[in-house]
Amino acid sequence: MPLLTRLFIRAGILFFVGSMLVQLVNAFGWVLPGITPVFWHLLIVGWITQIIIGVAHWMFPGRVRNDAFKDNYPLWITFVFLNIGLILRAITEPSNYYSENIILDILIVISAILQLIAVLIFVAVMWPRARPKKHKLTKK
Amino acid sequence: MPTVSIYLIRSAFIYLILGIGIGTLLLIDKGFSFAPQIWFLLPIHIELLLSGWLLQFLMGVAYWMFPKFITGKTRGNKNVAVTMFILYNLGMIALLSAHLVTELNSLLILGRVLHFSSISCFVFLIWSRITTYNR
Repeated sequence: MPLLTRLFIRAGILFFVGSMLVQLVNAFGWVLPGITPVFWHLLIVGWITQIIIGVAHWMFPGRVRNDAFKDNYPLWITFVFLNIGLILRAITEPSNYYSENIILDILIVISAILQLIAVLIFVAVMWPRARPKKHKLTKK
Repeated sequence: MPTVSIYLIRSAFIYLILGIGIGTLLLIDKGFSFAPQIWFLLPIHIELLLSGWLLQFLMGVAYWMFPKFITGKTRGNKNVAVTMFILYNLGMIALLSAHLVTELNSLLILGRVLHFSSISCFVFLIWSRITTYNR
C-alpha cells in the first residue's frame, strides 16, 4: 500500500473517530451550535471521501510506483489542503456562533477554498487514470 | 477498467466538483453573508455529493473490481450495465431539476423511480459476482 494511501486512510480513521466523538458529546446533551454540519462533513468528507481518495490512488491504473513527493505532489497537496481545510472548518464553524471576530469568518472562507482546491486537484489527477488498464497515457 | 465503470466514475467526478463548488459557496456565505438566498441550493449540494458522487463512484468501482465470471461475459450483460448508467444519470437530472424548481413532487418521484431501476440493474449484475474462486 503506497505511503499516500496509508496517510489518507489513517487521517480518514481519525476523522471517523472525531465524528463519533461529536455524536457522543451530543448524546450527553452538550450540543454546540453549528456542530451538526461539522459532524456530517467530518463523516462524509473526512472519513468516506478520504478513504475513497486513498484507495483510488492505490487501485486505479497508472500509479507512479515511487512514493516520493516530487512524483506525487498534486495528491500531497490534496492531502494537506483537504485535512487543513476540514480541521479549520471543524474549529471555526462552531466558534463563529460565539464570536463576531472577523478572523473566524476569514478562516471559514480559507477552509472552503482549501477543500475546493484539494478536490479539483484530486479530480484532475484521477480523471485520466479512470481508463482501461492496457491503455497507456501519451506523453506530450 | 471496463467502459461502464469509466462512465460511472467520471460522471461521479463531475458531480463531486459541482457538489463541492456549491458547498464552497455555502460555506463562504457562513463567513461573509453575501447571498443568503443561495441556501436553497443545500438539498442540491447533498444530492450531488451523496447520490451523484459517493453512490455512483462506489457502483463504478464495484462493477470493476468484484470477481469476474471465468467464462462468457466476464462482468455480465453489458447492455444492462449501460442501462444502469443511463437510468442513474437520468435520475440525477430529474432529482436536481426537482430540487431547483422547489421540490416539484412529480420530478422527485420520477428521479427516485429512475434511481431504483438503476440500482435494480446494479443488483442484477453484482449479485452473482459476490463469490469466491476458492471452492
